[in-house]
Amino acid sequence: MRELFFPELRFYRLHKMARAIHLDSGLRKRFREDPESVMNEFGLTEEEKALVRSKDPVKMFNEGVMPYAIFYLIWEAEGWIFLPPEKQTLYREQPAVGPRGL
Amino acid sequence: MARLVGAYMSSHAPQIILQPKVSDEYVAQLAKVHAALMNIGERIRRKGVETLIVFGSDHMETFFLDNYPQLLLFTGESSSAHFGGREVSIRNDTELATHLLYSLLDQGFDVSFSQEMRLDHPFASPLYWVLKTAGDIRVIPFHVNSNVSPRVTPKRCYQLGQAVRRAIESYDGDQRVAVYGTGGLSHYPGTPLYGKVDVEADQLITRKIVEGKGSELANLTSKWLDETGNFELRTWIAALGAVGDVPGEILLYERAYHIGYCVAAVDGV
Repeated sequence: MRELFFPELRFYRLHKMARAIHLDSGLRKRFREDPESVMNEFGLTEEEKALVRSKDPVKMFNEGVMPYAIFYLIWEAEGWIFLPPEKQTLYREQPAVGPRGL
Repeated sequence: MARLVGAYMSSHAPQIILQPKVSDEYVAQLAKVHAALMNIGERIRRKGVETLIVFGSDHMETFFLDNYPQLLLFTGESSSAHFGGREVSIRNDTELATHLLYSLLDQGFDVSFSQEMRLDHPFASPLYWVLKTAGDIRVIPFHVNSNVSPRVTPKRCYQLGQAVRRAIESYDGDQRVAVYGTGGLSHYPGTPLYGKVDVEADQLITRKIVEGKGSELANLTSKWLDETGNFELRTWIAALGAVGDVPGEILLYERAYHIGYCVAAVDGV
C-alpha cells in the first residue's frame, strides 16, 4: 500500500459506489437488499466485488481500499456505528507482557 | 482593517451530530462535547465576531476523485449540510471570501474556489452546536485537504494560516473575524486500528496549544500525524498559524472509544 488514504486507481469504481451509498440513504437501503445489482450499476470489477462481498474491513484495508470507503461500506451501511463499542472497534490493547508461560 | 480576534479548534466526528447511543459512558461524553462546542459559540458571540473562517477537510463527500482540490474557498452566498436527519445552514461573507481568494493568490497560495457547494460532516458536526449560541454570524468554509492523499503538508497549513491573517488585516472593512479548525484528535477511521486513541500524542498537541507554541506543531511530519491518528490536525495548524504563538485553553479532552475528543480556544488575543 502507498501512503495512508491514497485512493488506488484500481478501486475507483468501488470508491465511487461507497461514496454514493454514504450520501444517498435510498441507495444504501437498496445496497443492503441487493448488493449485486448496485455493484453492477457502478461497474465494479471482479476484484472489487469480491472485496465488497467479503464485508471484511481488515481485508479491504490490506488490499488498499481507501479507509473512508471502508467506513461508508462497513460502519455505515452495515450499521456498525450504532453497535456497542466493543462490537465496532477492531483494535485491542496489547495485554501487558507477563512472565513467559503465565 | 478587519481584525482577527480568536482561533477555535474542535473535533468533527459524525457521531457529534448522529449521537449514537452505544453506551451510557459515550452518551455522557457526547453531552460534554456538545456543551464545550456551545461554549465556543458563546465566546464567539461575546467577542462580537461577525465572520468565522472555518478550515475543514472534506472526506470524499463534497468532492470526489473526478476533481479533488487541495485548498478550496467557498465564495458562494450560502450553503447547507443535511446529516443524520439534521440540517445546518450557513450564510457566507462573500466580500471577505473573495478578498481572501485574491489575497491568497497574490501571496502564492493557488487556492481553488466554489460558488456552489454542499457541506458535509467536517463543517456540519461542530457548527450544528457552535451556531446555536454564536449569534448571527457569517461563515466562510475553507477546505484544507487532510483526508485524501496526497495532502497539503503541515508546514504549508501553518503558512496558509499566516497568509489568511495577512489577508484579513489587509481587508478594507472593520469586521471582527475568527478562525476555526475542525477535526481530530487521534482516531483511525476505517482501518484495523479503529478503537485506538494515541492519548500521548494528543497530550503533546494540547500542551503546545496551552503553552502558546502552536508554531512547533507546524514541524510535525505527515507521517507522524498518520501514525498517531492526527492527520486532521492540519486544519488546527492552519488556525494556529493565523492566531500565532498565543497561549490557549483546552476546554475539553475526552478519550472516547473511537477518538480523542478535544475542544480548544486561543482567544486571548
